[in-house]
Amino acid sequence: MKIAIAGNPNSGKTTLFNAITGKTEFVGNWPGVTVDKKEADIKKKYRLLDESIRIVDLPGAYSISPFTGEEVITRDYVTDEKPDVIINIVDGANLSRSLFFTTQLLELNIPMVIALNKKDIIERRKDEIDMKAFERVLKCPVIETVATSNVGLKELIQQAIKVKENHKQDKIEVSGDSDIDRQKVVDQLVSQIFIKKSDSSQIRISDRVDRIVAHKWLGIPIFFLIMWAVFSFSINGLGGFLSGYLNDTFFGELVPNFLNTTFEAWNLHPLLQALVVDGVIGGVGAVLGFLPLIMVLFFCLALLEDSGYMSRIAVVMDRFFKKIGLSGKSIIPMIVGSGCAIPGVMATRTIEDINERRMTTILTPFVPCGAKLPIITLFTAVFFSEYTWVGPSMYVIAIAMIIVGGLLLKKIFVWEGNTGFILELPDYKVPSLRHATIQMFDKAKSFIKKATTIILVCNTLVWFAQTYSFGFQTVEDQSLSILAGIGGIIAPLLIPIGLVGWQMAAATITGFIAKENVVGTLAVILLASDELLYAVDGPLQSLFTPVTAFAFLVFNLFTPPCFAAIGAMNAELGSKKWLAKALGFQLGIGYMLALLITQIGTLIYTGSPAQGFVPAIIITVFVTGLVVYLIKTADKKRVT
Amino acid sequence: MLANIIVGFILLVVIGVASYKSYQDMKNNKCSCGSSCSDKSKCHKKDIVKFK
Amino acid sequence: MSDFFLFLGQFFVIILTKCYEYDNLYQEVMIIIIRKVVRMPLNKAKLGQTFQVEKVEGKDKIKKFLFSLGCFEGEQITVISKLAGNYIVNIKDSRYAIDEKMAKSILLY
Repeated sequence: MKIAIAGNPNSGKTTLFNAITGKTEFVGNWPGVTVDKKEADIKKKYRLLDESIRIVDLPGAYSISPFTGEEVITRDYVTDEKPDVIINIVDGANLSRSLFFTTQLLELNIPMVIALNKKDIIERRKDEIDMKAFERVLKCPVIETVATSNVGLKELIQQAIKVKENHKQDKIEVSGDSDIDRQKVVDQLVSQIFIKKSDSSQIRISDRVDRIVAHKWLGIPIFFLIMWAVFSFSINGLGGFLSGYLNDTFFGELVPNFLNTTFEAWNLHPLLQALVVDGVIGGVGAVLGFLPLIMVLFFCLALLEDSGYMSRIAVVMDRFFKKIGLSGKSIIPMIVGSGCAIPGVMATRTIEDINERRMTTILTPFVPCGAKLPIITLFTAVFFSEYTWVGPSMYVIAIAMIIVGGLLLKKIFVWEGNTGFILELPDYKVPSLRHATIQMFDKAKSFIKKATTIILVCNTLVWFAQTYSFGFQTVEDQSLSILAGIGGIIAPLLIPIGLVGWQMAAATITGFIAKENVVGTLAVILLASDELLYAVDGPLQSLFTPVTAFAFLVFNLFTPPCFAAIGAMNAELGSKKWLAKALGFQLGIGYMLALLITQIGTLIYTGSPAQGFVPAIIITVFVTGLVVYLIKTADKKRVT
Repeated sequence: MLANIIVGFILLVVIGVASYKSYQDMKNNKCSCGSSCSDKSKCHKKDIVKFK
Repeated sequence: MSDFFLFLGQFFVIILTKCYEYDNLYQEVMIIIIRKVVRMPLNKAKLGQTFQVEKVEGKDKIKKFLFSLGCFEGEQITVISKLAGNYIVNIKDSRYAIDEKMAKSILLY
């Protein structure tokens, strides 16, 4: 049996879904969090008999006529896939608006149960609802729920099952087919069941807070301050501290020393020893050490996202985003993307205009994602430990390039973006610590799983590829190994941007599988334990100067993201042609920026040109010419 | 010698399981990103309807 | 032109109240009369006041969307504030942020 959960955005569908299935799908306090339908089996304790029940969580919709991409998904599901039962979550905070959608759902003639959610808000506002009248007038059972505290869920499911069996839906009359008629019916229904004591047009505390937080001039600094606080606490504060311990001491000394001494006592074959200690532990350890940092970051992000502040950020940023042809809504995918680019890219579905959506999809990966943090942390520790501004500067550069990139995209591609900006501002709420903790542990599980699967495999392969040559002989000189051979193919291309050697090429390649691999690969190649890797005078110094290290950080930031994220981009962009354009654009920005930093930086820093100076000039000229050409062609198309 | 075999075997099992899991994830198109998507949901929605 | 009338109307009301200390009822009647004569888009509306929607202009899709939120002819809408270039309004029981362009297309009285 399939039960679908449908209702207004931000009404509590996913919270309900999580509560009755035990899943931990992403929840946030702004409209447009769920952009995809999710399915799962109901928890044992909610089942009636032994029959397995499947619950489907749908994106929020204000009506069955879709406006945004996720509303299309909901519409398609209820009309085409015909679930057995629909649970319509009615947002107690906005009864009248919710019922508009409810009446449309009732007409589908699918057995339905209404969950009157956010009962706690109704009570707080001292409004009253006549439940008996509610059920009588809509001709369908209504259960009061508070999804965030699991109230009313068991009755809800029981009713849902009952409704399927006794299905003889009386349709409520909606005379005439127009929306206005429907609205009249809804107004009538509401007057029969709702006794409103509160006046929603009065100024609330939320409004007073908004006046400061979304202020014309204060809004941006406040936003930067909050984001700085989140990342600072995660990277420099608690998260960084714990990660530092894990990286330096645990994976840096304790584990390798223990294993080495034990293996030597057992007379283990040196190659096997190297594989385990340098390959597996070195690579995976380098990544796993970041677990605390990631956990703290996601905990803070979850709190932020639950508070309701996200919509306000969109309001504040709307002014600036309009200058590059986007609306404030585009900031939300970018903030989500600071955790992981994949849900960030998927969040662009809430943007109605397809061109704005494409542009946001291309620009979202510019924000440093959680996987890139290990790279930033590592290089800052080795090369920039006195300059604490380097880490946060990555985010500033990202924002700057989003603006520059946005302007460039606007110039190069011909499109008419121009939708208005309208976004619901949910009430602020105290973010749930419980929810943030659940999210944090969920991410931790995923991170550990990722580290022990794909990253482990990659590091093992890397270890083999750098220990053996193409003839499957072990090599003392790494530059004769398989890895050097593969890396050597694209290494020349990386010279103008300051990355010298097959090692960097190899790290970049593995980086496409997962960005964390860059750190793991470097650890394996340099045969470095974590302690050595992070040392200021460690082996990394042999591959970089401070200038090229900075260039490398920037390069990593803007080149196309990991394959999984590229896959998400492909899904959102919709066509291979656009995907190619997007990847080309991202690669171009990353490459050119790193090139400029290396060449100009080295000139300033050391007074002499860097390697590959001449090719760099040629490339720059060529790229500039290409960009100018593209802009000119686009301009011509615009005029005609 | 015995140590070699034991360690080698354990290693093989670990790497084997890891490879198998990675392969499965890739096949099911599940997110192996581990950072924000839960590994229960699919990351790439192949059938997004393009609407005007 | 309607801007001018609007200004005139508001000015007229203020002068009246200042000079004669009319009670609320008279004030409200005057305002209603003035509004019926002069309809204004949302971006010109006074902050903190409740209005009735007279008409919603724009593409069909947007009109339908606004409709489902409760923004259509005859419904009440309160302009709460203006923040960072966007108008914060209250429709039914929820707050929304609307930009200048969309505000221009919602006509009130």
